[in-house]
Formats: sequence, structure tokens, C-alpha cells
Amino acid sequence: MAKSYAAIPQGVQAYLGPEVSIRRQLEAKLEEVFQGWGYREIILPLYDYFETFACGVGPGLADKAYRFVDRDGSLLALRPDLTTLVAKTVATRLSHQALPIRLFYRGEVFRYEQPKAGRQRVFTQTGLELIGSPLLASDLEILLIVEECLRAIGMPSYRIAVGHAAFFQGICKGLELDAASAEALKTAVDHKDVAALERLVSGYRIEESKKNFLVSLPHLSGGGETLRLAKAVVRNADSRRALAELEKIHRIMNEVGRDEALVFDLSEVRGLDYYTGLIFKVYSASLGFELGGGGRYDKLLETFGCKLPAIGFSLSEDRLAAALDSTLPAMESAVPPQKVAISSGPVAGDFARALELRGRGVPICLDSETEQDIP
Amino acid sequence: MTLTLALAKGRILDEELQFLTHAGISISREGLNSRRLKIANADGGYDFVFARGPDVPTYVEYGVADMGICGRDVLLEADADVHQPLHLPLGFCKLVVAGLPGGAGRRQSALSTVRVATKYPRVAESHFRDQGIPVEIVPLAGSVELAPGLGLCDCIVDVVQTGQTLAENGLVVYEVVAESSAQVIVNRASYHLKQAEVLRLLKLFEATARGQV
Repeated sequence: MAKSYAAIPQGVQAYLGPEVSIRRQLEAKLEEVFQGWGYREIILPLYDYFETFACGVGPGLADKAYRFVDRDGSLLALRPDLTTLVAKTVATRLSHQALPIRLFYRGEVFRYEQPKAGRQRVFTQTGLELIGSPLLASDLEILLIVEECLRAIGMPSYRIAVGHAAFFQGICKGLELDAASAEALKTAVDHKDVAALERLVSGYRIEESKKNFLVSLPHLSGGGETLRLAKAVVRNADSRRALAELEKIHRIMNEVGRDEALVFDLSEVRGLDYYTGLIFKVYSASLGFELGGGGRYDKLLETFGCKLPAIGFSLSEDRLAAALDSTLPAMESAVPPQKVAISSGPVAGDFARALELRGRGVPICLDSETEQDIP
Repeated sequence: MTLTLALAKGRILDEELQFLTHAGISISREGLNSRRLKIANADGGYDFVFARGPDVPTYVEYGVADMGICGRDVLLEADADVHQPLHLPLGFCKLVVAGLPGGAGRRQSALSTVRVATKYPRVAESHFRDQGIPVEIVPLAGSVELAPGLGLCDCIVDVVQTGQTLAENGLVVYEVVAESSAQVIVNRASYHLKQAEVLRLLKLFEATARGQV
């Protein structure tokens, strides 16, 4: 059966009017922030070898990639993610440059998943990567930029929920869990499912106080007191290093007056096979889903043959637009174009007038309602 | 900040309301009788939305409700990305595979496809496929217990409380897929943006649940 001309594939959309305007304004403001912190824009290819994404972002996200076969038979994929492409480009082409390398990007990504949570199968991400610095100062730089981004676009009440990959990894290592048990523990913490945690923990041969601590993990979230609570219990070196880093971040963000939106969430356990240090997610009161997130991923560039630490974040432009939608005042509309009538008489004069206006930069719109065949 | 709670309508609602009353949160009679689907609490502390059970996880995932109470059965089917911090001692039931006594139904051999009628297509499909059993799902909106007797399917995946409806339709339980009870769920953004309110309510629910058990 022939499809109707109007039919569209699931997950795509076009934008017009205010939806375009809000996106372009967001982009301009974010670009200003990125450039203001010394980041250069990189434009990345729409597709690469599937293998690139599979070793980059891991099987979870690569599974959602749209795959197709090149003329030579190699398997390609539309980019499901941009960080992987930045990492590959830097690792293979730019690693001789002075470090650290600061790059920002914007572009569509493609994921084969059920359109939901304010995203279609094609959606736009914008973000940046700071590559080649293992320093905590870079973690702070990234958090300050995220904060400035949200301010710059006028996001009302937002939170940056900050955790650390090594905190939970340290706990798992200390418990000597096998992969399946660690996964079960991770899922329970991620769901904040206290009952499931109680069940799991009852099987561990550890002190009662540690069991209680594990059960309390889902709600180890809030201000600086969260870090102190955890520090009083946790003994393993990895988790303590994580807590020490977070404490420093807290102190400095506080001293520069940028800690208002910061919350600590030690139960943040997503993407642990990817992130190696700081992890964060951005939420706003006007949207039920995260607006974006990021963290430190010191092992990704190694997969492309260049051992460089890296940290970065990305924001979903579609979700930013959705979150701002209800709060943004009507866009200041551009100067309305001046109508230039094309008369039925000798038309050269009308066009000359149009060119004169354009020459002065006046926006015009040709009005050819009265146009007849040009004699 | 006011919290919005989504409650599942249907058989679990009476238990939910009773639980809320025990917790000191009352919804006015007028509100309940008015058939309105959204009401603000008399104390002004909470807003309530009443949704079909399967819609509660959706409301909470999208953040139109900050928190919700729904059955675990519903949550398993919805696959919603929400926090699930607390089980409540109400709405006990089981998700089971059931069919006519004597088992195999119309299946030709141990390897052939099982046809399953259900309101839980996701749960049913993964239950069978995880065991390597090919399955054909017949999604139904209700009266699932009729299906095996009518020859529509080999078995059903459905929720049972007392087993009475199954028995009345001449069905027996083959196996239990999951135990279910009510679960409190929380939107991921609300958890951070209204944390004090969310944690206060969770604590209240927990204390109430302990008092009831």
C-alpha cells in the first residue's frame, strides 16, 4: 500500500516560528558562554564506523545507533553521541597540540528508541569537552560553565546534582561483589529501592553499621552534610578520595558563591562503566527529566590509542527549549520587513527600489500580488 | 512547595486512601465524590491526581506528578524511569501465568509458540522469551480470564488477589511471575528540586507503614 505523502517516520520533526527562535537564541547564548571560557567549536561528521561508537560509549548507547553499510561493506552508524567523536578526533589528530584542549560542539544525534521524555529519535545536543587535564581545577571549571549556561539562558530554579563514580566503585570493590551482585546493588541504588537494598545487604558478611550505611545510600543526597555523613562511615581508599574531591568542590563553589544550585547525590550510579570521577546531572523545576549531564571520563581516549584524561558535559537543546517554553517572555521579534510592491507597469523601477533598500540593509518582502507577466 | 501525588484509581484506591488517612492526610469527601480528577488537599499541603493504574508511572516519569502510588505489577509493565524508594503494605497480589487445568493447552510441542493473552504484554513477553520460549502476545484490555476457555490463547498472564476470579473461570495458576504490592514512586527531577518535601513524606509513609504491619 502506498503511504500517504503526509506520513513521517517515527521520531522526526520540523521546527518553525517560536520553536526555531527559542532554539537559535539558546544556541547563541550558550555559544557565547562556551567561547567566553576559551572553547573553540568543532563540527563533527554525521556518521562514523559503528565500531567507533561501540568502543566509545559502550554497548548500551551503541545498540541504539542507526546502522548502515558503506559501499565497501563496512558497518557505519549515524552518531548516537558526540563526545565519542570529539574523543576520537582529539586522540587521533590533535594530541600533539598544547594541552588541555577545549572544544565545544552542537549537533543532532540519532538514537533508535521510543520517542519519550521530550525527545524524538533525532535530537540536538550541545556541550563541551576539556581534554588533557586530570586536575580538580578542570572539574570546577566544568561545573562553573554549566552554572553559567543555566544562568545565561534564564533557566528558572535548577539543580546540579553532583556525585562521583569512584565513590560507589570503591564500595563495590570493598564488598568484593561479583559482577552480577554489583549490578543488582547498582540497580537498587539507582532506583532508590530501599527494600531491595535491605534484601541484598542482608546477604553480605559485613558489620551491621556498614549494612545500615548501604541501606541509607539512596538518600545520601543534599548539601555538604551528605559528604560528612558518608565520610564518617566509609573506609575504603577510592570512596574516601571521591569524598575528599567533592568536599573541595563544595568548598570552592561555596567560596565563589556558586553553590546555591549544587546538591550532592552519592547515589548517582549511572554510566559507571564510562565515567571515572565527577558525575553530574542537571534538573529544572519546569521539566520532569534531566536537562543534561556530564562528568570525568579518563579512560575513553585510551580506547582511541591516546591516554588523555577528559571531562565534559552536554545539554539537550530540545529539553532546554521545553523547560524554558512556559517561562520565556515572547521573543523580541525582528524588524518586520518592508513591503515592496511589484507593479504591473515597468517593473525595473520597483526592483531598483528593492535593491536600494537591501543595499541599506533594510529587511524587505516583495509583494507581487499585483504582478502580471513582466512585459 | 506543594507536592503533587498521583494515585491509582480502581481496586487499590480504597486501600490507598485508608493508608493516607492513617498517615494523617485526608482527602475531603466532596473532593472524592466530585469525580474531579485533580483535587487540592484541604490543608493545601498536597495536590492529588487520580489516574488509571498503568498511567501513574507515566505521570510521575514525566513529572506532572512528583510522586505516585501504584502496584509493582504496573511498574514492571510500564518500565518507567522513576525512583522506587518505598513499598507499602497494601495492594498485595501476584502476577501469574494461568490457564486451563492440564497445562499445555493447544501447544503442539514443547518447542512451539505459546499464545498468551494479557494486560501486561511487556512482562509476559520477557517472561517467556527469557526462558527461550517463543511467545505470541494477544493484548487485551480486560476480562482476560475468559480468553483460554474461549480458545483465544494457551494461557494468560494476569494479576490475582484471591484467585477467585480464576477459579470461577476454570483456570489454574501455572507459575508465579512476580509478587506485587503498592509502591511509592518519585520523579527524578522532583527528588532534587523538592527534596525536603519528598523526604518528609517518604518518612511519614514509612512510619505509617511500620505502624500498620
